[in-house]
Amino acid sequence: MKDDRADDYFVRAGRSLRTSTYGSDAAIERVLRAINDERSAPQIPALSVVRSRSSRHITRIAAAAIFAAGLGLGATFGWRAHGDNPVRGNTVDAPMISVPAPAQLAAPTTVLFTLAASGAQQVSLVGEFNAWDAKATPMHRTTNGEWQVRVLLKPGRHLYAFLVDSNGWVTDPHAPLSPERWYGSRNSVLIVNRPLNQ
Amino acid sequence: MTTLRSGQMFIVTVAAMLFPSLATAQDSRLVGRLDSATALAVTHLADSVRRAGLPSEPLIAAALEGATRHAEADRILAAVHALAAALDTAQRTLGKRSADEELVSAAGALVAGVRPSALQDFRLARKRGSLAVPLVIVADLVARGIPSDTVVRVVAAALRGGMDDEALSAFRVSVGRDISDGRSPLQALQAHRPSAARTGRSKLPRFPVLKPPVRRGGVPMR
Repeated sequence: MKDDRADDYFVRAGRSLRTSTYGSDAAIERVLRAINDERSAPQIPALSVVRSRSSRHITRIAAAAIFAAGLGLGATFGWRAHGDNPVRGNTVDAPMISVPAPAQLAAPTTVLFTLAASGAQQVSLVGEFNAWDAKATPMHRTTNGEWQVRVLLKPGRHLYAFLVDSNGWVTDPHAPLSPERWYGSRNSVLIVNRPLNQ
Repeated sequence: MTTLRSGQMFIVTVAAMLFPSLATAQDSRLVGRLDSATALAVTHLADSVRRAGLPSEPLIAAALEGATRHAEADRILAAVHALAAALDTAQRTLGKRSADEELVSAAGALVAGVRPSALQDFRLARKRGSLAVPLVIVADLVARGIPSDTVVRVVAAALRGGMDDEALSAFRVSVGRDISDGRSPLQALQAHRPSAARTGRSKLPRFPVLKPPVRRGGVPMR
């Protein structure tokens, strides 16, 4: 019932964008008001803040060196965003990857995606990182019936899903669900952290 | 810095709809995935959002997802506009210095039904450190059927107690597993509700420890 109402809302909202009632949508009005804001707030920090940030910068450099080794390990062995995978091994339990990627470097990290779908003929990974292109990232079947693929990801929040046999949109059962459901079903969420930016 | 005024934005969007042949400056990633009028409208909105200091990539991504899912143009435009509105609210609530993933996660939480005031509560509860993971967890638990106000209360309390992202993730996994096993969402939440003893407060030396106020005479208040 709730989903139907949401669907109806999106369809009506979409239509309104193509008609003269464009300006009546409150949400769009908020966006446009925000867009028209000059947003000229001063960005020059106070001296004490500058000092603080400077010392933090040094700390970050030192920490970056320490984390570089960990990052190398992560890239070598692959951090894992797993699907219905009973084998834990060196996987991260919750697919909210906490990878030490220094913010300044924005270093990409290799993430291993897996899905247990032994009956599938074809599985591909779709997500924001590959422009939701169904052909961009095909997954490979392993000997135990899992499908796997490694992807290099930048730090940040990534939405993704598995496309099973070209038409089945499947979320990762172990990952957080996306709140957005613009097109019917949800996606999965993966966060590649950058703790040094905190 | 130039930004489109609302009237100009309207004219550009309508012109793009009426005269697709004018659509020459679309984002290259949208070419071939969307019709030119929709691609141009999405591109202009993304450009404007970027100039406003908001992350624009999620808008392009939302449009591309719609293309992959064979969604109608109206629906794609509605999704992109709704996402832009949520990002704007997130930034106004959390501040302009917030990291992109924080804003995107906050926008998601807003879309899930979390109130903007809850974002402020989270910011107060965790003054240092990203809110991206907590916000993703909040949105996930709401998506699994737990009322948003309840989730917000629990997660805000956990953040105030100093719970880190790893512990929050483990909490989410436990709740999700219980729900998958047939437990009601609220029961699952109650069963794994973080307690003060589990927040790992002692593991957080990076938070400054406030000294107790001193009475006249130098005796600390108890």
